[in-house]
Amino acid sequence: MSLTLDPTTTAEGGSAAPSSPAPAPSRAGRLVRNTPIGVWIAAALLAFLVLAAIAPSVFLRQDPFEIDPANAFQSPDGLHLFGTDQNGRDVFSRVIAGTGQSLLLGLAATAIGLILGCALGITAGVSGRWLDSAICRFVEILFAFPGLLLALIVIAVSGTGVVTAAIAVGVGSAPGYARMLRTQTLQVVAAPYVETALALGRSTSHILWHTIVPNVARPLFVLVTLGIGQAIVWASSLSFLGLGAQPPAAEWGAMLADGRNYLQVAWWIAAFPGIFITLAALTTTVVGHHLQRRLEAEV
Amino acid sequence: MTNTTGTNPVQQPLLAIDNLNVSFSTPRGVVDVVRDVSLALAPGKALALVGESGSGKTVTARTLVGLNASNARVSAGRLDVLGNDATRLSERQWRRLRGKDIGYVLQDALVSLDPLRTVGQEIDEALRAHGIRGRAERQERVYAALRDAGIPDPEVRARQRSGELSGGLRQRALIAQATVLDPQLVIADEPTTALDATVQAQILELLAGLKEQGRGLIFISHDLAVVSHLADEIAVMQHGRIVESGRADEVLGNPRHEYTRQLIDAVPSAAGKGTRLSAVPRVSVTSRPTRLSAFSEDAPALAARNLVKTYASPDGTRRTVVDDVSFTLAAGKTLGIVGESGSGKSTTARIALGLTEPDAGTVTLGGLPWVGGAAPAAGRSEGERSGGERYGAGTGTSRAALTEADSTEDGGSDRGRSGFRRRGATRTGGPTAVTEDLRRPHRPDIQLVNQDPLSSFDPRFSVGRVITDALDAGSVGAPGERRDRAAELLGQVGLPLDLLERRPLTLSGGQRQRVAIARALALQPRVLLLDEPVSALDVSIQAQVLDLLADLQEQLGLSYLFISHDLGVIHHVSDDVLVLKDGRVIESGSAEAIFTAPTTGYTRALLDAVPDMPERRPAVVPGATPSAHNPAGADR
Amino acid sequence: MSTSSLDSLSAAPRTTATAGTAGKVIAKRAAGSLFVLWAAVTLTFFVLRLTPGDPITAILGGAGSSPSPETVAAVRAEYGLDQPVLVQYLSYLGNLLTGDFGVSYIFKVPVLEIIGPQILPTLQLAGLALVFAWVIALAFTLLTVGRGRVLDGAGRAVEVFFASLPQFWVGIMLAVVFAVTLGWFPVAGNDGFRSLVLPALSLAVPLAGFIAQVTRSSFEDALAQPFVLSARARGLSDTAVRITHALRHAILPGLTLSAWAVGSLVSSAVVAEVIFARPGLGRSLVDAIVNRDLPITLAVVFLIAAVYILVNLVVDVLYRVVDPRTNPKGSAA
Repeated sequence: MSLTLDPTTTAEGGSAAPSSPAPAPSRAGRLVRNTPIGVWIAAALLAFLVLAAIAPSVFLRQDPFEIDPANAFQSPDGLHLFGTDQNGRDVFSRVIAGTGQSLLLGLAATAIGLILGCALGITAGVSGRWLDSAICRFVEILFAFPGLLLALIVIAVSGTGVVTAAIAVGVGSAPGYARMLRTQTLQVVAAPYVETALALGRSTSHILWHTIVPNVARPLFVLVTLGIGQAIVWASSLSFLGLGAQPPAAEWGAMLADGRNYLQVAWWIAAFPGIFITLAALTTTVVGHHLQRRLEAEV
Repeated sequence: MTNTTGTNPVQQPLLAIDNLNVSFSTPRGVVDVVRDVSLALAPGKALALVGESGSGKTVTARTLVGLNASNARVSAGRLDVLGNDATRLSERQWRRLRGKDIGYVLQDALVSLDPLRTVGQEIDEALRAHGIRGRAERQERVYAALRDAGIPDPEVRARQRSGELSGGLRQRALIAQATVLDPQLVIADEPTTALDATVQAQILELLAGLKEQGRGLIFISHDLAVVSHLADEIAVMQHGRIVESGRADEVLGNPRHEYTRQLIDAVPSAAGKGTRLSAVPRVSVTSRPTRLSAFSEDAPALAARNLVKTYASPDGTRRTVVDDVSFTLAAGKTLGIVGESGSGKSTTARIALGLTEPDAGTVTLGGLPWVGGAAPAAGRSEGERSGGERYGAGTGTSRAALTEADSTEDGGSDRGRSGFRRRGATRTGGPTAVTEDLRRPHRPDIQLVNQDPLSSFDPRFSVGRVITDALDAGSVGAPGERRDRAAELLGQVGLPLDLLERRPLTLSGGQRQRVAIARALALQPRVLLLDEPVSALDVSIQAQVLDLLADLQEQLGLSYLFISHDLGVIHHVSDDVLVLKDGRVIESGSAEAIFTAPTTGYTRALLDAVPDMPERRPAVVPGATPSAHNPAGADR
Repeated sequence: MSTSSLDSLSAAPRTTATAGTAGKVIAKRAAGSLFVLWAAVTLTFFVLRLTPGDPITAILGGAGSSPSPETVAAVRAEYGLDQPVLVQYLSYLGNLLTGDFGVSYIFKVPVLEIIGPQILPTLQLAGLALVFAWVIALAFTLLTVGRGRVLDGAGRAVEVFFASLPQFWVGIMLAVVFAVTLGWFPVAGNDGFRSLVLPALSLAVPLAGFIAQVTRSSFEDALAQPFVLSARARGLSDTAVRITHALRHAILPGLTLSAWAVGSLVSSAVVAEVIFARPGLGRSLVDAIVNRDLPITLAVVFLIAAVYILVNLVVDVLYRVVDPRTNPKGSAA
């Protein structure tokens, strides 16, 4: 429909120098007005998680590793916000203590996935058709290892552990990133502004580094935000299966696996780490989606 | 046929509307889109709503079928639609009217018919929605509707999807689905926009036929020339109001409102050639830095000899897109290239700009070898082509048939893969071909302005950066002076300086096109390649941009290669004209010769198909002629 | 395995037939599938075979045991491990063609005997999870998209929430509520449909979130298209337009996503299998990886890749049924 609610288009009646529309409000003002309340809540919770990751001592009231059999299986109360586990350790403290590792795992895995994905995807996108189709084929083959499978194979190669888990999740997410970045690169390469740069007399390498790469990189921040949430979920899945962080560690997935054995007596041991995994994934996703929408509105 | 709503005793007006107001509540507040609109329509008559984008004409039309967005608020002194008080109709009652008593035709049938369903299913849906049960009867009526819409072989076409039909058949099918139930009122919203002139003429004839059958027709268009062929009455809308309405010949021949006059003047046409189209003051170029260039002013600005370009079709055969095209653009002149979609004009432009390597032929730029010069290297372009095909699919566009309308321009899928990769083709172009490396120093001499300026701006850039980047590319001036030079260029194209910090996305279409022109001028080119530069603009903005281009040509001595599908625009701007069809030059010569005495049947048919408004204007033009404020009669 | 990869999948178009007959297209697709299958097995074989660590340790009962050199040599010969890797690979491929997956290092019996009984339960689990996911996603889409700000926002929020849930946590919570507390479903085991519901749901909920997100945005896009307006102007009701026009457009990206999802479900089934103590391929895989049981690992990888490829073919066919536009050349006419 040709309905235009934007005053900029209607303002241009017959004057040669159309006056600019209503003065644009300050950047900060726009940011506040265009951000839904849900995104603010998510951002606040995310800030809390990040703070807990960087400085857990701000929130810690008990030693997350101190064993106190006398206090085992305490249900949540004022002293033990999330109750205590089978060894009498404070679940809240353990969850807080695990935040750092979980977020770091997610971040590292996403970084690994994105670096691999960029290398494959951007190379495929800008290079000739033989290299491109070779990379595409390779990525297609990797896609035949869906879900956890690729991560499990990485673990089969390099054994269990936290570092391996990060690499495993990163490698597992790389094919997806590669495909997406290739599409993105192709779109940028095909964009008229690239051709315009050529017509302006820019050299090929100048166009590659000053036009194509920056424009492909623009949404990477959004991808990182969106990716971390899922990476945290997958990494904790590996820990849950006993393939990532091992039980004494205060990692959310490992804690959940631990608590699973006491479900009937103490649901809180498993419930709260799960809530935090969900929270981490949810907040990063919400914030990431919002950033994505803003970026899309700009392009 | 009886029903509770919608029956309308003959000869009563189909529409009687007084003081219609429509507003939308948006997060930014209430926006009035239609204000105080009054209309009336009798059976067998056609009423045209004319206006530019944002004038409220579409919203007015949708109000008449009760299909405005949910945030719309409608109020009216009187809103009689087919004898019903439309302000009180329930959704159920509206549904009974829609399709059966009111037919609604949108523009671009590729997206206005469900691309996943056959044309027959779409038409049949209207019959079923109105309770026609018999399968055989419905089938018969589907075929009849297609036949009535002028579609041959309805049995075959009914089983095809809109994507499988040509633009003209598609639009006919769209009309068929709106008229299958024989509605008394047909509303057509820009039904011929995006169609080639010859197809447009056929569709207009079909619509005229509907009118002759005694139906009332509401016809929405931005194009006065189109409207003049069909309308009995015209209502001109601006900013949601009707600024002038009356009998078609009155409104067009003797416009009373300033805005109507502006619109009429803005239409480029034979009568207005050499005059200014807008009332905008002319720009003046104050400073002209000079740049050393090998460009010879004595040679033709741009000369193409025997260009050939073929692409491999998916079925393995080769399709010749440009076939032995030659032209000469004289220095300081404008050469217009005109043709319908698929005529090869865009590919020709890309070759001329050195973005697509031709299979054969050469181009010289200001006397210098610019493109080609080698024997065709077999297989080269094929690889390029199939690459483009594949990437087209890879970027996710192939599924998005909803956007395919955009790719109907000639060489559409060729554009899928940019010039970035094409440099490879240039390098392999043969021993004597001009390579991109040789071409690069001369690139400033020829610059491009295309139809969609926004896509030609790096999305990260502000307006100022767009221009300074171009200055940087051509190493024009010292880095510290570029900002000032950018401001100066903005002034040259008639834009205020405060746009420098803005993002192109926030500008209007006309402003964006001016920025694109400023960027092209940044490198002090000798030749501008203008590829449909005004096709996406409203007619009054188009007039301003055409005037601007004329001013710049005059003051800077530029040569223009001007590509358009619009014969009126081509006639207005061109000194010489090239008519392309199926990649071949059908006719070439001076604009005067081609437009007054075309030698080929094709050109004549093209010219005949153009709804030519001024010819139909009655001779009585009052003393204060619309062109009186255009003192620029002879300066071109 | 991230939101982003899902997005890319839904955006990636399936190859459209541009030339040749349908038969040719199918033959080409089948050949491509076989190639991917072969490549997947080959890649896994070499990656696992060439990693440090002697498989003999796994066969002879872990690092703790200290077998005599004679035993090692005998076992090595028995499992063909004394051959060059390339020969091992070729003989593995040859056996694979005859349906022989080799002998498990740990259980010392043919691999098929171990994993054969595991295949069906996992496929049932994955299949049911996919059905649940689609039902939940479609219900959300049809009920909330374009139904006013409140419902729309609520639908959107629930989808993001679902997509953020870890499968294992959903499983545990479902078990606590519906099995332990309410007793509606068995806590564990593989005993008919009832025992399948909770494991399938725990896999389905996050997947439903993803499918619904994709379906929602394409449903919104479809509803904004002019053909919807055309249909309304023909006299169709809002509901009729949603079902006959918009829905068909909306499920296309979800279909593409499903092909990936089934493969993913088969491997992530391990989570549900562990929680609900079910037999299945996923558990076999994790056990095999922990115990370095190469033949079983390879066999499971082969099966999952095969399922993935097969489902992809099926989805391709389905896609063509829903979207018959095999050749978009009409637009260029």
